[in-house]
Amino acid sequence: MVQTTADLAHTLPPEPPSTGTGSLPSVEAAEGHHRVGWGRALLRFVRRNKIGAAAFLVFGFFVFLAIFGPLLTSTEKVTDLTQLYSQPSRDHILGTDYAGHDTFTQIVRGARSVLVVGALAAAMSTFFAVTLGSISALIGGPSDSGVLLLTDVVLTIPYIVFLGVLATFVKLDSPILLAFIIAAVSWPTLLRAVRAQVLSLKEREYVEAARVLDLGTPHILFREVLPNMTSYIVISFVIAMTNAIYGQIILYFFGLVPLSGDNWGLMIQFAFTKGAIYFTDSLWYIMSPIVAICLLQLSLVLISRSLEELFNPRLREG
Amino acid sequence: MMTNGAGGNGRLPDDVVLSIEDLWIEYKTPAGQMQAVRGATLEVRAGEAVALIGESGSGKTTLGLSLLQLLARTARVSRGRARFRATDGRTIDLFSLGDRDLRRYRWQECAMVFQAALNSLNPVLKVGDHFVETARAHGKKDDRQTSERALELLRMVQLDGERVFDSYPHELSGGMRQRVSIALSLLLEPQLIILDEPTTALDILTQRAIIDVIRSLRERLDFTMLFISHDLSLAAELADRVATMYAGELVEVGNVRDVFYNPKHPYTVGLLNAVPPIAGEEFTPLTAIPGSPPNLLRMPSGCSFHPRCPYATELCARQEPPLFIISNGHQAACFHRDRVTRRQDVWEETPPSGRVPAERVAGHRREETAT
Amino acid sequence: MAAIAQERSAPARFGVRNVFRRLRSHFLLRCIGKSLFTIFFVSSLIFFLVRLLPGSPVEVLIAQLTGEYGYSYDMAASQARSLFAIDPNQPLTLQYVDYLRNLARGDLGQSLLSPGVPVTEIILKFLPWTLLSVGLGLLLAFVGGVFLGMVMAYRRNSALDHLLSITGSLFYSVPSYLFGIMVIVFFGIRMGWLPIADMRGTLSSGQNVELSFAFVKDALFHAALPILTYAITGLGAWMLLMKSSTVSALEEDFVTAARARGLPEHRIAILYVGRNAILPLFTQLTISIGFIVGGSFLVEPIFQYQGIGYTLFKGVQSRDYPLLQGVFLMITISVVTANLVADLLYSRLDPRIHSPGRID
Repeated sequence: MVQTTADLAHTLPPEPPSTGTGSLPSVEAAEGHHRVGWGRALLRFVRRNKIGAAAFLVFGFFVFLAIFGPLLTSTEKVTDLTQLYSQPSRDHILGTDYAGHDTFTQIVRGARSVLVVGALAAAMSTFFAVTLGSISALIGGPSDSGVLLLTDVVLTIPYIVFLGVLATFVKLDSPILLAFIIAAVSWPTLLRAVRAQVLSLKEREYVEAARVLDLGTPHILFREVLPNMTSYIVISFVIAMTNAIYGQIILYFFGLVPLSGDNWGLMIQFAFTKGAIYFTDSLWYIMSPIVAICLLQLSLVLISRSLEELFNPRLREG
Repeated sequence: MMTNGAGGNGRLPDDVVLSIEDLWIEYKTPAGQMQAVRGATLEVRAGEAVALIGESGSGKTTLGLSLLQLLARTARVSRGRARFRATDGRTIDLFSLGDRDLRRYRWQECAMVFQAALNSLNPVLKVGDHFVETARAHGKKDDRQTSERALELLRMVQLDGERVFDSYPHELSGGMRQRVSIALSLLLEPQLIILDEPTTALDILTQRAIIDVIRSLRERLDFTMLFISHDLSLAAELADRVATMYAGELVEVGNVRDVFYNPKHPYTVGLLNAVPPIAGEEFTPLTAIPGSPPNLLRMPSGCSFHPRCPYATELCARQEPPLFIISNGHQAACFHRDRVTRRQDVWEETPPSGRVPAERVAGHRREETAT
Repeated sequence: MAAIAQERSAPARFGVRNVFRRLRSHFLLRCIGKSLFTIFFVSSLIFFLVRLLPGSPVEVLIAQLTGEYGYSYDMAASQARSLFAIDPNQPLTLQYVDYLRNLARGDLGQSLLSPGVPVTEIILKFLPWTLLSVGLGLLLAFVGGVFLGMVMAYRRNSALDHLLSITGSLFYSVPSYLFGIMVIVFFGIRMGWLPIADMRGTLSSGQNVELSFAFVKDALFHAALPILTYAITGLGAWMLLMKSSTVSALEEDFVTAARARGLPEHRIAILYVGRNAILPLFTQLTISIGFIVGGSFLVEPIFQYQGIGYTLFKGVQSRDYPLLQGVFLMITISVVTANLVADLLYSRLDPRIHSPGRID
């Protein structure tokens, strides 16, 4: 949660790259230019930026776990009371938990809900923030002031308090709803950032030209402004995902979400409620989900930085 | 007449307020030590107004700042000294002042009016607070008396005293702020006031107003003035003596009439020719000085001006000219001073030497006080 | 010599449009207006959340009452509705008006967990503890951060600066709740330095709330760990922010000009550098307040510190809806008020906020 505002403020690029030249741009030209640029740039990027490539791989690993994990492991939780908080061994790569369940299996299975909720929440809030933010910035005037006022008002409400309270008011019977409430609380910061970007893009010549030609707001939005912001939107999405993961872990950890199932946050919660912190043997059980979360977040942050470099040529070295 | 102030006992003669002797100031840059001021020697006598004229990078601001020890931490005085004659008659060595003495010297003996473009006033303090604060820092605790004096000074610079006294800096225009700075500088009745580009960045009407204010102040009050500018016309209006500075060196010093009507250094001539005359029937074409100021890290050999000079000869590329005496009080650092005139055709006919200036490691100018 | 004429700008014309424009340009009025609107908005939000969401809390409560407490449906329904102050026979708009009227009177309903106890009473009982700990924590973090930030700027690139920068960044990256947990686990359990068990709660048993030294000492003893958590986790951000702000301020021309006037360095540090460097921090202050108050929601339960955050936490766990609503509203109001105070302070410190124009 500490990372929310700070990350968005510092990690997002100051200016989206411009692909427009002096003449009136067409989306095809912009996209075509993009496609060729991407492929070649990607290869160069992998060669130059090993850390970023590694981050992509790590993230890919988690995605793999999310998709195939629950399929490859058995659903049953084998309770083995002789093996409480055991150390890593051949049978249990990461040891076991308070009831002898295999830690590694739980980690593998837990990836799915963490990633699904994270991605969904990020998608929803990014979509909402981008749409409302850009339209509001383009239209300007009193409606823009109104949207800004509303955003500020919602921003005033403390994030985690809002999240916790919403979690009780909404009948949480699926992870999708969980994603929804996280999105409902996270959109203001995103919206402000998007609006600021669009405001700066608004001053660009091609937008002015489109307006003079009276091409209409939807056209301007979808064919001039947004295509030039794709990189920015993608990076915003990745960062929103890190924030969503933090948010859900907090909710699970503090027991504010009445969901069960496999989730790393739940593992950490059990570690505390079952008193694992008082035992020295339980270190593996406590640290496994924490390390998994940190790895996932780290890979996402590094990915966002590499994407920044990829899309913003000015940051590239050499 | 140049008095030799470097007497054995170090005391300055009664009529000299400031004496700068062979001053060298260098800056530490990533590319090496850069000499911003090279062997400057100058005297300022009581009651006179000396103009220090030069373009950006000539070292004039550095020289001015050094007199109040306001240079950045990367700068240092590597050679020479500056002596000042305090109000009580004592001679102070400016560069060896301790902290307490320095704070006393600042503003009480010597004050500075900064460039108009700068924010010299604290945005969170009212104008009046600046006056009171300064007075208190110098031991004058009677705020009421300070306020009265401040109001009087503000009126002297043509401002609405009460209103401005209670205003914040952002509520005033640039010209008004500059006048406040001038009034502030007079608060403790210093002997010497240094004005750094007092009219730069102001519009023409405001410039006129500032010049008038300064002139009227000089008539009413008794202070010595050193002002730094690139604007020759300012010197013509206000100065008694003029010194032109190029690439850290003083290249010509003299009475204002001598320098304007009988300049003896080609750079001075170039500066004069670059100013468009507003009055006059003839349409005299402007001539710019060819080339550009030298890279202070890689100075030309010999005379630093020779690559741009229409009078340059081989001698100029080999040797550095010292300040030669032209007449009483008029000096110029040029081997060919006898040939130098104000005529512009010389600049059009004779192309500059055009050779790539040879590298020169920071050297020292040879001292010669006679021709 | 020309005397420069000074005119005031022309007097403002009257009319509704101009009144609005002047309202909008008046900084403080705008802040107050926004604060009131926020409170109104959140209250309405709660109202509609309860009534319009699928799986509304009312239904959940009825299910709870019938299932766990064995009420009959009718009894449960009427109980639930009275607790939420809902009269289903009234149209929504009238319900809304009633709700707002109750709010204005300070009636926030009654708690479920402690039947018969008005929510307002619970809030008034626990809120001061949070205000104490959060307030002191924020104060310590801010003051400490400002001081250390200036030290870092004045001694830029020294060993001290590097050390403080690293420490500050470290403190900044750790979330408050995690810090709290680590304090308990390491210093309490593993090292045994802190009497964790004794420090739980807000007061030792037997100690009454009174105006005595013993009370103050006891209250601070119990509040020490939450305060420490808020202070340490907040310190980092303020340090780094103040350092960069001070570095910029040190480069300002008026600082050189102040030195030229012979002002002593310590006065320059406070009145010229400090006063100007601290201004940008106030915009950050409003964000921080919301942050820390929100943090109390997680930090207080960790330390079993019975403030408003703890109350909310328990309310969330037990689905005590009326309590939840009231506390949520109260937390928002606290944040809004604190922000207003911060804005007020800022307008006092920076004279550039007020002026509509210049004397030219």
